[in-house]
Amino acid sequence: MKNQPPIGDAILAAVRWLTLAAFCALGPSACSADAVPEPEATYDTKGAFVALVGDSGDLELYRILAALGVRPYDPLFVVPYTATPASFEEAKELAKDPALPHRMTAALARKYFTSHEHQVVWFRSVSIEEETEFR
Amino acid sequence: MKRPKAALLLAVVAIFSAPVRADTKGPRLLHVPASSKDTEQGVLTPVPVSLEVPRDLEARRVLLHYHVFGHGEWRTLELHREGTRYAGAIPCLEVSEMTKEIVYYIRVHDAAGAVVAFGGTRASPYRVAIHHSSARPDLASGAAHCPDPAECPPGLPGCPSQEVERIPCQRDGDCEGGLSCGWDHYCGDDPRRKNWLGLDVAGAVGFVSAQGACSVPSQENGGYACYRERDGAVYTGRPIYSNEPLGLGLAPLRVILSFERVLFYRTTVGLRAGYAFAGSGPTLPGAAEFVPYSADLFARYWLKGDPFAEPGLRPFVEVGAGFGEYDVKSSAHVREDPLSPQYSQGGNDLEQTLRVWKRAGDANVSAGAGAMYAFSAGFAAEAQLSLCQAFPYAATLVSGSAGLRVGFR
Repeated sequence: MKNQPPIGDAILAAVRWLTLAAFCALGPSACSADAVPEPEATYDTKGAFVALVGDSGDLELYRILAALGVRPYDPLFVVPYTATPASFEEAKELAKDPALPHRMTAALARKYFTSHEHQVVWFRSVSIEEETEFR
Repeated sequence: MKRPKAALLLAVVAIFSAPVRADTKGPRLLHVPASSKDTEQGVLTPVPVSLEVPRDLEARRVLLHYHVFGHGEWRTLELHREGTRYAGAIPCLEVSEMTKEIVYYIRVHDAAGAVVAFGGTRASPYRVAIHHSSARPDLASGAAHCPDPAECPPGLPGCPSQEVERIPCQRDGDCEGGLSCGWDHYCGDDPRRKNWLGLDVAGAVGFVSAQGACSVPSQENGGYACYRERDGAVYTGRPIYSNEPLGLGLAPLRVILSFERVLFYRTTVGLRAGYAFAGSGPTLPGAAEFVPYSADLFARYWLKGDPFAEPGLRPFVEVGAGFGEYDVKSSAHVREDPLSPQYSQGGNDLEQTLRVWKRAGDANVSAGAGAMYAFSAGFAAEAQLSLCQAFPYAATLVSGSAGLRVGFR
């Protein structure tokens, strides 16, 4: 049998090339650490779920549909939910349920939120169907 | 009346030569007078053969193939060059005392071993009828016995031609009797199956980047498609880019038909054609449909010396390149940007997990290793593991395949 030409170098080069290609393709996600600061919803963000400590001391849960921007009270168009969570954590878990029972939509003065302890517990973008339903 | 022995000295005379096919450089037919194709002679006499080969043939060796009635095998002698002629003789001992027929043909080989001209063929050889002296006194030899081979060893000048054990060749067409042209350029009974057909089933695990995978630009231009787990809707929200792990998922299962050719002892090249029969992903509205067909070329280096000469384990390494689409299914955790000025899709929770399909391809390069196990010279099973990089829609795939091989000459 005749001697074979050595191809070990060629195979090694091919493997290196593939490895390099894989790192080029996947490297940015694997190595990047410059996470962008996450924007947070506020109590007047459309779609935000806001848990608020009411006058009775119980937690009330609202979803913001729109900030109407009408003076002098600058009311927020909201969906009030019937649930009375015991904590902000529970309010967050309740808010994740798309079928959570709610009352008729209402308008609340912006000051109602700013004057009571509240927390944005969740966010879900408002769909056209929801806007129609709540209207 | 056939020509007597005296005329046999010039039994074959190549006066002219003409191409068999004008458009190729195939072997040329040595033209021989019809009277020289069918001759007679007496017992206990060598059969002299002489021919003139045209100079433009660039002949290096002239081989005489002969067959004696009653003998199983064809034998080969090399004719000696004598000026512009090539001459030799079928030995007296082969002729012997039995009345019979000897047939022969001549092939002219160039320096590379290729047959460049021929006179007669195995199917249509020249014939020499051997007659006993009692029946044909005119053909009787004066000596009436063959000389002792020790007195005149074959191959020496003036002695009978030496038998040729190995016939040079350049291609299979230069060989006869079921023999093929070996890589050493001699005709032989090559046990190797040089062509292999294969049928495999292949699967793969793919790694894709999940960073920004579900943004609208990625879905429009990056080969991604993202779907909400909750309702299966195509995700068109506004995700926040953040550090994401690699997406890992299964790629489609394929059935693959392959053809592989053994080029040299340990080197093969081949072509694969595949069809993805399961595991392809959904296609976004308006996007190009998944193409289930794939094809690639590959070259292999077999790690065992002369692996195709005998059954057994045949490990190999491989590189390849080709075309094919790979739908890789994975998932991505996305956080919605609640402050996005462009409010594109309702019903997206602040955080959710999406089903992500990456349609990678259409080109790919690969490197891998595997082993064939040959149960016999022409039947084998094979398994392989490869690392494949798809581009320009990137994905790195680890693929495995297993299948059967059928080899033929």
